[in-house]
Amino acid sequence: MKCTRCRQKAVVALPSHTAGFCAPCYLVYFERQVQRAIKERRLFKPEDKIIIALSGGKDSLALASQLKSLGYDISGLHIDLAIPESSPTAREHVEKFCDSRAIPLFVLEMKKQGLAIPKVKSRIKRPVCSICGKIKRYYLNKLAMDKGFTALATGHNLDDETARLFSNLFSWNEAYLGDQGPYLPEENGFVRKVKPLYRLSEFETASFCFIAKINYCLAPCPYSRGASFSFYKTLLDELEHRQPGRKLSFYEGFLNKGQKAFAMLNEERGITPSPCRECGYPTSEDICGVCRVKSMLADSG
Amino acid sequence: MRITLEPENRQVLLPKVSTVTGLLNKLGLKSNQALVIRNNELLTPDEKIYPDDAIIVRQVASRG
Repeated sequence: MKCTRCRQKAVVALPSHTAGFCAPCYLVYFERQVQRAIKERRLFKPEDKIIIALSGGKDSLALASQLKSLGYDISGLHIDLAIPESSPTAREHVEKFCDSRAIPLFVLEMKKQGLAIPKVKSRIKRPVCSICGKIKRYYLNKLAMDKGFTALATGHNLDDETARLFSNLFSWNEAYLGDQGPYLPEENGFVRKVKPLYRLSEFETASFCFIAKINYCLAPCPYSRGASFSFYKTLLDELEHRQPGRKLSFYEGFLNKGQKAFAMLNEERGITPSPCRECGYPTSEDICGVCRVKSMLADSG
Repeated sequence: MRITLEPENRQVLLPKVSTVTGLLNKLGLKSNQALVIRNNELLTPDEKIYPDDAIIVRQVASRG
């Protein structure tokens, strides 16, 4: 296979774009996809102060590398979940990455907050993933607001977004559909949230990391086995394999034709968040989810 | 042919595979689910592979 741009030998084949790229041209392609996402969805401007959630995986490190090389004002935030099988190596990857690229890094240790994920998991009967996600979103937003960042960027990719859209549509979750997209504005105590990698698949971010020599953490979370999102991703991979380009057209189609209707429903029925009685974090309940988890841990000793 | 599967870092031996597509089919993977690496270079699905090759198949799906 030859590179679509320069006719040299291709190293990445992208059936979704009917294209193949050599290593240098692939980096150009990747950068253009990120720039297109930022511009078309008006994610942020050069003057924005951006904090990136860095898990140590391929997507977040690829995002930080790309935004840094585009000249944006970025910092990183890593949340150390205190999971023995994966957290130490994830943190090490993030720290080395940020050191090598002079990216300022904040690290929040959940153990110090009394929220080490193994401890939380031991006190609940259902899967810990949703609570872990809630805790991460809480501290990402809190630090971004406390430190005066104007946007919180995450490495969610096209596979993450289509799997989530598929799940939300399958359950007709109107509230989640109204909020889904690569851009959520700052409002009601929440920082602006952006997903500049939404046009790129996991295969594409992994290829980028390989070519750009980004050493990312391969250790999976030991608690994520059997997660429904992984199953949805496998289903959608089969669809993409048979009909290349369907994931992007499915997601872009939703953003262009469907999302607004669900957002309007949310506005009509919406509940404006108010400050949590315990910590002041915006919540639709009297006490926010993280304070409820803390209270549950305190009650169970 | 010696294959290393990542992220689990498991080694498998596969005879009689002549292309990257054939290799992925044997492993039950689609071309958008894994990087295929030989001599520190990425391989496209149409690439030929040989019995003496040492190949890494790195699955790309995030798990947590």
